[in-house]
Amino acid sequence: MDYKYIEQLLERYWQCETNLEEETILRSFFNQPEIPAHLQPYKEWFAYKQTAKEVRLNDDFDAKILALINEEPVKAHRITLTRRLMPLYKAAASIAILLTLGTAAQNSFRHSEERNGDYNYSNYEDTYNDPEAAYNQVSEGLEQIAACLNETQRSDTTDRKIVLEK
Amino acid sequence: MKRALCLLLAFTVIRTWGQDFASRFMNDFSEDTLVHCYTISPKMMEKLIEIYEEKELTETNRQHIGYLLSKLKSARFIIGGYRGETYYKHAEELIAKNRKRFSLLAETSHTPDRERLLYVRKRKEVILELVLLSLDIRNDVFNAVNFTGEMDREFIQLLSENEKPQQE
Repeated sequence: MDYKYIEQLLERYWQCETNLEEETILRSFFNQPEIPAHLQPYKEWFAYKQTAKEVRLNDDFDAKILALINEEPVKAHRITLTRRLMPLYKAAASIAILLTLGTAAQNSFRHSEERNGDYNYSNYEDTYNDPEAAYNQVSEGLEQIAACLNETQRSDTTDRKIVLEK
Repeated sequence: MKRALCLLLAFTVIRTWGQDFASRFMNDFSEDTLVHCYTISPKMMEKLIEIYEEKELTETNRQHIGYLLSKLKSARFIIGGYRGETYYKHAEELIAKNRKRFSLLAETSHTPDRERLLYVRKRKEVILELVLLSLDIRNDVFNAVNFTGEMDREFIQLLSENEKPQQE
């Protein structure tokens, strides 16, 4: 079979020189079940054009669109003052909690201070294992303080003073 | 990052909190081998109260020492040789830095061979910490006595009256 005419039509089709009748001929040709191998690649193109033509909207398309258009608009919710101030309440509550915890911690700290004179004795490591040696050291320390106090009391000059009421 | 900063802050506060004068001073001289600190903890102090009764003392001194020891919780002694004046000056500066914490109770300066400064840390009428800074000018030796506890006016008066406990 000679496909010269079809090839010529195709050539003109790609050059956009075909008229409607010639394009109809081309579409009818490519709609045939048997098409020569060298023209096979173009079949899809013309077949698609044919099927695309057949795509139609469903019958209920209009109804669906109209239903969507007529749907009631979303009403704006009225936000009450309480709701509007909710973040402020939350922030105030957080601060109140923090203050309460802080005060509680401070009180507990103060009680502990009052008990221990606020010194952390846990890291004290004894230098002496022998209480006798420790006793002598403490006695010596007390003597030094006593000496300082007595020396101050004995002195009459103003730059040597004892300030017991300070 | 925030958590790390908070932890660091908490760690610093905990580390600084509860330090007596001797600890603060020793922090500054942790590398110095010429400064030594001797510690008597509250536990050992309790033992001292037990053993003083076995001592041969006059009844008055027994009462006095018993009273003095009962008012103490811990004791620390710092001795620094060869650069005594430097240590003494540093100790004075440290006290000056903590001016709100310590107040001067007594001083014996301008003596030819020794300078002494006695500081106290008080809460109301109770002395919580007692710090004696002493400089042996001739030998250039610094020593500090640091007591903590709940010392009162009577404690100070007893010390002023009894320079040295007399043994029988």
